[in-house]
Amino acid sequence: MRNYRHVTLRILALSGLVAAGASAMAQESYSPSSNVAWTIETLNFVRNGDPERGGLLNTKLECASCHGDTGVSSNDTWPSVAGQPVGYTYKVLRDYREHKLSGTARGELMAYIVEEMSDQDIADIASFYAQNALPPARASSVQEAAQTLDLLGDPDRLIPPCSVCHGNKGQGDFPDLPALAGQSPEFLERSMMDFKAGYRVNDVYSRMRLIAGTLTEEEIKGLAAYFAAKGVAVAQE
Amino acid sequence: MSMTDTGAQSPTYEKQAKRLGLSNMWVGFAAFAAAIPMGLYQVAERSNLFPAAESREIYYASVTTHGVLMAYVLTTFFIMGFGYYVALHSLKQNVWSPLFSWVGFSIALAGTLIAAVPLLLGEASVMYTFYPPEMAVTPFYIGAAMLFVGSWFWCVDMIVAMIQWRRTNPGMAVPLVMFGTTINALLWLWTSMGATLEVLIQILPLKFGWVDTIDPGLARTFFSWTLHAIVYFWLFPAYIAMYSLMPRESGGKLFSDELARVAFVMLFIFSVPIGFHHLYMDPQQAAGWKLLHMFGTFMVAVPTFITGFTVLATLEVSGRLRGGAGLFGWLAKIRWNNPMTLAAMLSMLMLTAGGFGGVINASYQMNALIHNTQWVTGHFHLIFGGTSVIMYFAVAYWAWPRITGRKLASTRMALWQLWLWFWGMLITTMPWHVLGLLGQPRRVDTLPYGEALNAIWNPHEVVMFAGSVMLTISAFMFIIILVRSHFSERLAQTPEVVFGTAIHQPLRVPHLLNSLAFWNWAMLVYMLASYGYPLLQFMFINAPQAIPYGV
Repeated sequence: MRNYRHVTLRILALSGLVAAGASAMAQESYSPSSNVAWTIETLNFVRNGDPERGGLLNTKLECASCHGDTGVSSNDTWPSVAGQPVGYTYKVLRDYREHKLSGTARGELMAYIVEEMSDQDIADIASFYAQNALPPARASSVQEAAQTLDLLGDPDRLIPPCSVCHGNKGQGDFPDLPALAGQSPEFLERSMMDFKAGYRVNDVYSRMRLIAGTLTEEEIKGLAAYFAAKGVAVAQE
Repeated sequence: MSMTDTGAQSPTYEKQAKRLGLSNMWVGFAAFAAAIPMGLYQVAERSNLFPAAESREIYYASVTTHGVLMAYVLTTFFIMGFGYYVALHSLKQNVWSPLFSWVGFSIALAGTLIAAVPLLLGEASVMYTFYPPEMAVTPFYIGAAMLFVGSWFWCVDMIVAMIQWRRTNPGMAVPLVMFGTTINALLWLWTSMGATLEVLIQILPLKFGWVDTIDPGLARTFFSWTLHAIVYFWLFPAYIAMYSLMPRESGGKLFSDELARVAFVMLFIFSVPIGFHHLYMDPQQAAGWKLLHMFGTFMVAVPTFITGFTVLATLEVSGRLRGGAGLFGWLAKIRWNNPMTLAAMLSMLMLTAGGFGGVINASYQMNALIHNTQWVTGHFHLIFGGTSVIMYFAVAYWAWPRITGRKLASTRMALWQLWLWFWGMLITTMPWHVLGLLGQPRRVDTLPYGEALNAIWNPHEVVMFAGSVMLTISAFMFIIILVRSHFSERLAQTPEVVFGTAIHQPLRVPHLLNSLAFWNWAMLVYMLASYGYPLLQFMFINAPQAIPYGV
């Protein structure tokens, strides 16, 4: 009788452990790419961001030290954030804060920096960057292969044209499609390589992972140079 | 042709008919002239033949502007101008209030100009169907709504004119041309209500910030109410011209006045409550409702066949009156050198081809094969640009000497223009039908679907481009003829406005073929049956709303 009880307890304990492990694994594998869902409430919240307060935060939180006073970085190590659609900056900062980009080299650094930022802070600073002009175009010779990918994609590899999402001028689009025009080529290359390798996973439905996964390293370098050489003179809404 | 002395004092209704007719028709044809180069550009942009012309932004701005100018501006103003002209002449009475008519014209014109600005700036690139949740800037919707509201003034004018005439001519048959025109005015009131409700209930509250989201399913259901019947609104004047102007122009008699009225009434009843064939692939309506609408859609074939039969019979009558004999001998005796007669025949040929495609579109299952492909573009260009607009040309050639008192600049050039339009339309739209069957999507600016598909599609693209060049040349020939006709030799006597009569011209017709009241109630019942529940369901199904997108 004691033996039976002992065995039953063991089975129950083992079952509990398996269940806990399965639950943890399920949580791990079903963790969404991003916690940001574009409900109308979220959209309105982001739209109502205060750019003036965002400008103050840019200085106060020392974002400007890497990303520049207006969001145009002076060092290619860091991305420019000026002119990005407000939804993109909001989502990516939330993703950093919620450790959705932990797999990338800068993911935890940014997570630490934005840890204390509230949703309101993020919306405000996103509004500030969005009202500034995109960085100017870099001098570069346009690669035909990159231009073809941008405008036509590659049907054989099921790659849609970059411009379909990122805009004909690389200006980004509603709600969270980032602008690429004038961006640091180093950052663009690093991002696409992170998507390709699966280090960066905050793209909903794996859209960029699927695309970058089929691009060659040479193509990624070409696209990075190509978009850095694009320029949009107007500020985003 | 009988003549009137231009020196004599014209009655007031003639002056009103000339001014209202010419003003409205010129606005319509000016829109047509502006829209034509855009059509050529779109074909060039899609053809892969001119890489330098490729621009996504310009393409969609161009498609939308072309669609709006052709489908809303050309049609509405032409129909209003033609309506005023034939109504006042057939009834020989004045408009009940000239001020009212001109206010309507002014509102419609102002609306057109207000909508034109964002269209040309690329801030309203939402196609002429403007399906939510894609959004244009507010002035686009306000301008379009003003165009609709302005056109309702014309509808009221037509209905009031018919009522006044019937009061002063009790028991008499309303002239066929007026019966058709008034039933088209009533059709437009019913038709335009769907899109108007969509704009008023859904789009404007969103644009004014009163709501944050929109239900695309409801919006598309409202628009389907307008989208098919609008085609009959465009087609009606073409049929009216075939029944009322062509018989006399071809030197013959209309086969049957009563049959024409039956066709008009059937076109009216079976045009509005059958719009769900535009929603076959949509999820928000159930299959049973779609099936019901499908049967209604097929009923449109009946008045179409009646018209085809009557037009051919009328032509045969005129051919035989002119000495034609034998089974087909009458064909050679028809006055093919008369623009109206030629246009009627060419229009019928295009209606035959376009109607065949329409049966495919209307069939619930076959529709899936061609849904959102270039086939659809081919179909509606053949029916609208072909069947309807070629008759607009013919009407203008008929009306201009009567309005201006001057000779048509060149009848020979007019005949060439009609032939060129006919062949251009066939050469443009037949490849579109084939491309649709080959799976080419419509409403896309580029076709990046790989070398294998492009190799199959490209030959058709080249043919399509050649056809559209012919259409462009033909369109400008038309405008040139009209402009030149304002400066051509003044006629000693202005041709009289006389409408064709039937072989057995009725003095009295059955009440149901002489009045609109019964058909108006019938339309209400049919609309409640076919759109009542499908619209009501949106009150309680709690479908998730969409977030608007665009400027």
